[in-house]
This record gives sequence, C-alpha cells and structure tokens, in this order.
Amino acid sequence: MAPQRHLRRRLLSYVHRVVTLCGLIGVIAFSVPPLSAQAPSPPPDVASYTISATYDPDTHRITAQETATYVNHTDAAIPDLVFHLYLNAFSSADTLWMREAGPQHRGFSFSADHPGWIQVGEIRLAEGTALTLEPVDADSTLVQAALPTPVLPGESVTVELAFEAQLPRVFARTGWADGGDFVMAGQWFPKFGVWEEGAWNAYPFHANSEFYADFGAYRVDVTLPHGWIVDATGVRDGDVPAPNDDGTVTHRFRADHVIDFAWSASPHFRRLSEAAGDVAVTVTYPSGQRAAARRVLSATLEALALYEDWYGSYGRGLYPALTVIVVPPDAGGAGGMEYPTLFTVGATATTATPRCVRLLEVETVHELGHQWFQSLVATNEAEEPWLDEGFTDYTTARAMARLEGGEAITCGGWTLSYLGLQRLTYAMLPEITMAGKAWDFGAEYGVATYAKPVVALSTLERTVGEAAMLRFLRTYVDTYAFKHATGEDVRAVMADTLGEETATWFFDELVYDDVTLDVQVAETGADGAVLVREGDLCLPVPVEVAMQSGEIIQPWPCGGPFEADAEGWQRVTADPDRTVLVDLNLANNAARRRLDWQSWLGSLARLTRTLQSFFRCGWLP
Amino acid sequence: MKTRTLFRHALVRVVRRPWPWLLRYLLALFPAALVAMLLLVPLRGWFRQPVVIEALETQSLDLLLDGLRALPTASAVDGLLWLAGLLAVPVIWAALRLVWLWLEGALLTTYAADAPPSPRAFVRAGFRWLGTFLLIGLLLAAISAMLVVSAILLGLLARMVWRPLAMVIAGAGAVLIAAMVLYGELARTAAVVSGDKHAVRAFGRAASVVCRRPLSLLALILGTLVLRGLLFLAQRELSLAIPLSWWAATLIVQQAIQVAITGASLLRRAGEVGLAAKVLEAEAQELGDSVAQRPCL
Repeated sequence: MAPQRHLRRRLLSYVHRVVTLCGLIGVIAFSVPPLSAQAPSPPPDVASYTISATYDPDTHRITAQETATYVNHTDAAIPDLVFHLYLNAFSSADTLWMREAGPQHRGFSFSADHPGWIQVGEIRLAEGTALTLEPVDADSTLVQAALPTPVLPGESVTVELAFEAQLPRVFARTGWADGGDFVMAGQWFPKFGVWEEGAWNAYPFHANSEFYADFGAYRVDVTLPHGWIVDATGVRDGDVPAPNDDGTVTHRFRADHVIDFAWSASPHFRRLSEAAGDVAVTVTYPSGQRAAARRVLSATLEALALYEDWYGSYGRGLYPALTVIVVPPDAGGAGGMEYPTLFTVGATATTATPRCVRLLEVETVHELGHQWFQSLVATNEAEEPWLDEGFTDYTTARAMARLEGGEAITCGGWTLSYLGLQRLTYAMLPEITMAGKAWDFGAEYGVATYAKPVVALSTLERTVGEAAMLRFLRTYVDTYAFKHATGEDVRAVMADTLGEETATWFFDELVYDDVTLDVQVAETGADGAVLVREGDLCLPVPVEVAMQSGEIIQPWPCGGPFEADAEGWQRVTADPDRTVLVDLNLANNAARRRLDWQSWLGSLARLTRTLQSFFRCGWLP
Repeated sequence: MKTRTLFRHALVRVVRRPWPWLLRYLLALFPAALVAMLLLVPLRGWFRQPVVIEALETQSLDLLLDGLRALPTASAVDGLLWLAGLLAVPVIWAALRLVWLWLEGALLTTYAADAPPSPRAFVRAGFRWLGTFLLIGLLLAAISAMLVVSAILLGLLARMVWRPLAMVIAGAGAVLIAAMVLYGELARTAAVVSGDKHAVRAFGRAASVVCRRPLSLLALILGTLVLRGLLFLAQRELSLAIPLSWWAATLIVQQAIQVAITGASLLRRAGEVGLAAKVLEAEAQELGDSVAQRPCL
C-alpha cells in the first residue's frame, strides 16, 4: 500500500476511535441523572410501626395490635420509652388541651357526648418482658415505660402493644362525621417521642401544638366493613383484597421514610386521579363535592410543579403517591391538615365560598407545601411552630401569586392577595416574636406562626432578590431533607447563602424580637416633607422625591427622621419598590403635595356609575 | 307579529317618545351622584396618598386596606356627611322603588297610546296605575315567598335523599322566581294596554300573552337581556382600561353606557306593550268585542 494511503487509513482509524470514545463518554454522562435529580440515599429508619387495626363504624372505635421499633442513632443510651397518646386530650372538656382551647378548634366545638381517647392494654418487649406505662401528664397524653436495660447507641428496641382508640366526633383534625359514614384517623396510635440530645423531646398535648416525630417505615392493615373506601399515607400494598369471612375487608398500606401515618375512609368516597410525572396524585372526595375536588386537583397539580421547581422533587423521589382528602361538609374540623403523602382540605368555609374567593385553593397549596416543610424537613412543631407553618405559608403566598385563576380573592375586579391578607393579619398584632413554643402563644398563635413569617420571609425575598431567596430555600431543604432542623440550623444556612448580616437582622429583629416598623410621611409643606420611622425595627429604605424635572432617590439609613428639602416637590415616597413588607402600613409611606383632583373626580364618576346600577336594580337589573 | 318587526316597533316607540328614557336615566343619575358626593367629599384626604390612588386604579384590596387604616382624621362635618351618604343608600333605593312604579305606569301608557301624551297626562297616568301595580307587586311577593319556602323545604328533603338534587331544586327555584318577576312585569303591561285596573285579571291577560306568543316574548326578553349583558361587560372592561385620572373620559363613556342600558330596559317594555296589544286585540276580535279600551289619559 502506498505510504499516503496507509497514513490516511491510520488517521481515519484514529479519528474513528476518538469519536467512538467521545460518544461513549457522552452516552454515559447523559444516562447518569444530575445530582439534584438523583434520589438521595434513603434516610435511616428511626421509629417504625407495624399496626393491624380494625375500625368499627358503629362505635367509632379502633382496636389494634402495634409493633413499634425505635433505633438509637444517637450517642446516648435510652433508659425508657415515651409514647404520645394524643387522643386522650379529647377525653373530656377538662383536659389541658381543652382548657387552653376553649374548648373549640378553628371554630368547631367539642362534643362532650363523643369524646376521644386511647387506652393501651398489654405492652411488652419483643422478647416478652412486660412493661408498665406510667402517665407523664395528668391527661395521659404522654406516657412513659421504664426499660429493663437501656437501648445503647446503635441498638434498637421493639415493643408490642395492644390498644383501643376511641375517635371523637370530628374535632381538632381527627374523628368521625357524616352520621358515622366518614372517618379521619389522625394521631390515632401510640407514637414514640423523639430521642435527641440525651433526652426525649416530647410534651403533653397542648391546644396550639402540633407534632414531632422521627422518620421510619409503616406497615398498616386497616380492617373495615366491605364497601368502605380507604386512603392512607403511603401506597396500597397490593390490590384491594377480597372480603374476609365476616364481611370485612383488610386494606394494607405501606409507607417508608415518613414521620406519621393517617388514614381516612367512607363508603361514599369517589376519586379523581392524575399522574404528575412519577407521582400518582389522587383527590378523594365525598359525593356532591366533585366541583370542589376538581378545583383541589387543579391547584395541587399546579402547585406541585411550582414546589418541585423551587424546593426539589416531591419526597425526593421516594414518595410515589400523593393523596388529598376532601372532607364532607360536616367534617370541616378534619380539613386543612397535613400528613406525609396525604393531606386534607375542606374546612367548611373553604368549600362553601363563591368561586372568586379562592380559600379552597389557598388551603390546598398550603397543605401541599407541608410536604416539604414538615414531611420532608421535619421540624419540631411543638417547640418551633413557625418553622413549618411560616415557611409553608410563605410558600402559599408565592404559589397563590402564580396560580391560574388569580389570587386569594378576585371578586368583582378587586383583588386581595394571600400576602395582603397575611399583612393585614400581622398588622393587627405586630408586637410578637416568631420564635416560641406553641403554647407560649394564645390567640396570637396565628400571627406569630403564620402571618408574621409570611411577611418577614417576603421582605427577605424582596431585599435579597428572588434568585438568592430560592437558593437559600433550596439549600435549606436539600441540607435537612429527612432530618430535623432547628431555627439555628436555618440561621446557619441563611448566613451561608445570604450573608451573616442578612441572617442577623432577620433572626435578631424579626424571629427573636417583637420590634415593629411603620415608615410614615409625618409632615408636608411647600418646601419639603419629613418622614419618620415608628417602631424599633431598623431596616434601611430609599426615599424617592418626585420633582417637576424628574425623580431623585436618596438613601435613608437607620436613625432619625428623613427631611426631604425640595422646593417644588410633587410627591415623596419611602420604599418605592415596596421591599419592606413588614412596614405596618404602606399607604402612609407616600404623600402628594397637592390633592389629586383628577383622580378624585374619576372616583366620583366610577362610584356614581356603581350607585346608578344599584339604584336601578329593583325587580330586575 | 314577527320578532324583528316587534323589536323595530319597540325601538321606534322608545326613540320617538324619549321622556320615559330621559326620566328613568335621570332618576337614577341624580341620587347616585348626590350619594357619591356625600361619600367621597369626606375622603378627599385619600387623594393625597399615591398608594390609595394606585389601589383605586388597580382595584387592589391589598393597598386599599392599608389606605383604610391610614385614613386622615376626619372632621365632624366630614364624618356626618359620610354617615348621611351611607344612610341615604338604602333610603333612596327604597324610595326609588315607588318612583319606578309610578314611572312604569306613565311609560307604559306612553308606549301604548297612539300619540305621545302631554306632560300633565304623563304624570297623571303614573298615579293612575300606582295602586294596581302595588297590588300586583304584593300578590307577586306573596307567591314568591311561598315558592321560596317550598323550594327550601323541598331542597332540605332532597338533600337527605341525594345531595345534588338539592342543587337542582335550588336552581329551578331561582329560575321560577325570575319567571315570576317577569310575569308580574307582563301583568302590569297587560293591565295598561287593556285599560283594566283589576289586578287579578291582569295576571290572566299576561298568561294570554305568554301562551299565544311564547317565542316572541322569549326572544324579546333574551334579546334585551343579552344586550344589557354586553353593555355591562363593555362598561366593566372600559372602566378598567381608562385611567382613574381621566375623569372626563370615564364620565362620558360610563354615562353613555348607562343611557344605553336604560334604553335596553325600555326596549323590552315597549316590546311587551306591542306584543300585549296584538294579543289582546286578537282575543277581542275572537270574542267579538270591539278593540280593547284604550288607556284613559
């Protein structure tokens, strides 16, 4: 072969090998999913349960056998076991919970004729040693059992117990309703506290408090009469089985890497389902509520896409299903609650409101938000309720601003955003900290844990910018997915992502302090205006002075009043971009030198027209 | 009478006999403007707050609620004015219900007559029919109340059997009430056209019109309702499109639409007069009677 041809052939062969190698590398690279989309290593199980339960719809009672395993992943030995028996808070109107609550919850009253309770019968270790449960509090919402030998670090303990749970007439998220044809079983089984820092983190059940638990695996059988439709946390284990000999049906569910297990059942349930990527979304609703169910499904799908974009995949890819229960109209007390992979909606006001009042959508996207801020990042709802409710409610405000169909209230052309609603709520009781245990707050719980965090986090977002805020939130969720985070953990993440200065003012002034801010135009005159800050919260704002020739923007650092000396000024505005949403009132941030007569006349024309239509409306419009 | 002819005749009546149109429009405009002044003069301080102006411009309750909390302190006079304005709303609405009844008698007489009446005759005609119309209204109210109570009871019963049935009953009840209201309107029209002040016979005559010309009547009602609906929509869209400070444009556009909406209502009434006249004339001929009495002026 001629040397040139030989050379060419070798060159071609070389190129061919390089191209093949590159192609191979490319195939490998693209077949490995990016880091953020990869399912994380599953978290270690800490508290796992196997429960076999039978529910009697006539007595509204659950009879069950439970096997509970606790794994000690800490450095300290566990000398005893602590269980929550939450339902005992509803055993009478005299419990701590009831005395704190009134006894009512979100507008629903307790029915003393239909109380709730849990009684644990025999409890023994798996190897047979009997244990004795002693109440920790007077109402036995917390019980303790001493162990013959402590559970050493790295070891586990398994107990078997029999219990009966009497469900109340729907009250405080759980119970039966609809003449007994509906049941929502939440906090229905003896549940471990959280062992951390050498002690059990578990409190008697307070009215304002929610829950705190470890991640684990649940295997739950629920036996009900044939014909009842059941939905639960996790996924169904197998198909719906054939009826048992006694006419009942045993429904099997499994849920992995979750902190709680709830279930709901009714013979009147219907379902709407749709796939959202790898997640099977099901909305289960009572007959007559199909319109509400459609709204819920639509809002869930839209918000799910948003949240996955902001915070990462739902359940980090480990939760294949998401179930939403629309509760019947007379079970409103069970609506508006989150559980891992399942949440409820339909507190009465939400389904009974007109279409333009989108409280049902607000409730839906809020409870969905808890799938990240609570089910995934499992903060302590008793000690730091603002961490899950605040972040979730802030998420709700972001979602409602982006959902199809408009904001929280969009009636007659007028709009009220969810953020605006929470700003108003905050302004009613602004001198409050966000940090605090749930029972430290009385009626101001809603402001401290929902409204103020929404406003504070929204201020933070506008201050640092959306991109930076999302980076902070994503880092927080990524770092603490399937873990317990505290306020200080959040602060550390904020300092890392947004800077120490930002973390300092956010936490020191808004989370741990009760200082407020109201920027106001205090005086105006021909030669200028004076602006003042009411309250001790210090956030610098710019001031814009509009002149005939244009606008001048000047900084106003923390300190004394701002004097805008500008002859011929037309308008002065503090914080023109409305960054500082914690400002108690935005309307007094600005003033015109002269009355805007043209707008006044325009309003007169509009109001006249409205009144004309109203006066003409007699028998027929 | 073909429907197109019906509409054309009605339009001619309304345009060539403009007094009812003008009166009806002005009787809504003047009280509305008065009350609007009473309510807005005390709030003039708002219009030094750019945020409030923006709230009104963009129809943002977020900002408006802040504005409400930052209201400048009102003087005693301003407070009284505002209270007077608020109280005036229901009072004027109630008073106008009587005025409309009077006007209805006058305008129906105007449309039914061969020639437009004199102003004095116009005023007298309104008073002539006021008593009959009040009685028709009371009878209607009694029947409607019974219908509402029945619908509620049926709905509650149905809810126990099958919940969606309750919604169906509620819907049917609403349609029935609306039909009753229209029927009362037709009864008043038939009374004036026949010249007979007997309220119960008026209902009978209205039934004749419904039975003999159902399609024409339906076309008339639906046509004018659609027209009014479109005008309302146009008004709403234009309201949002015109900046708040363009008060002259707002005034002209909105009042032009108000005039048109008033005209659309009267178009229906004039059409009902034409329809009733034709039906009652045909009935009279069938019975061998002479042409129905003309309304006395």
